[in-house]
Amino acid sequence: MKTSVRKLALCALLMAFALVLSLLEQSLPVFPMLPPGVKLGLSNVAVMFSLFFLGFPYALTVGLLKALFVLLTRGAVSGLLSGAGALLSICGMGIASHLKASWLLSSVIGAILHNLGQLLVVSLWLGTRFFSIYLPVLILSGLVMGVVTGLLLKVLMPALSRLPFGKEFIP
Amino acid sequence: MSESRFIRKGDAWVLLLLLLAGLALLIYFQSRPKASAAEIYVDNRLIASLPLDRDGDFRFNECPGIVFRVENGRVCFLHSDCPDQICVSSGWLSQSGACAVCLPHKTVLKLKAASEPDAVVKAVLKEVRL
Repeated sequence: MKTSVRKLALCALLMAFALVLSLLEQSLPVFPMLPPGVKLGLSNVAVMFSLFFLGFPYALTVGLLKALFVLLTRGAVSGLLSGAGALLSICGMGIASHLKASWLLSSVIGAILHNLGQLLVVSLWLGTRFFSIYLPVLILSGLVMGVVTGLLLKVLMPALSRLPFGKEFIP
Repeated sequence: MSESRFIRKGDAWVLLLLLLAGLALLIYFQSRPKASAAEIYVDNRLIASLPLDRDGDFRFNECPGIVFRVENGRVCFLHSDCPDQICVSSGWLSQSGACAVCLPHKTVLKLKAASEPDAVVKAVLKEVRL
């Protein structure tokens, strides 16, 4: 089971990569024009990489471990939102890539579903109907951020494929 | 890594469709009438209704850490002692149906419509849309 140990190690590396990306994102300045909740979602780059090259269970592990990290560092509310977003987004991207959608499209679908998952939790929790007012915001921001993170994945591909484990998984 | 895995021909259409859907929803919600009152819910219970034509700062016992400000027919979370400050950064609300939320305090600020259009107006609007 040599391969699975290698996969496990790569999975852990990607998990660290996701955390670094999310810390990097937090240190970026926030644009005051943007409505709250609109975020770049940089760590999705790491999740997408694990989904496309290691498979669905690994992507899910990376995403949920990241949510656990958020839970431990930023509190229960943020952790729950992060987990719900990650779960829906990874399932959506998994289905999309299973249906042979391109990376860019999967990335956009993932970004929109991430927002949707968070909005669903907030709506369920507070039981109010402000779902509709935020729907356009989350579709448009997901569209833009999904394209950005998709392009980032493409840009980072050469670097990621130089990981010591990369050769066997990356075509 | 082949180029075709990154982007495909059909993508542009799907993205365009999503963009149009988002813009259409945005225009639809932006064109809604101005609100006349703001409702404040704490823990899913309505605790107050602020008329938007009376300016001032408001604080309620149910959410003591939060100050609301009403000014020129709009309302905002002026101040909150929550850690994330998402509610404060939501800014001013004036359109009916608009909302801002402070999750740590379980507080929702929601704007009510000025008045529901009556049945005749509704019927006319329906005709116009068709």
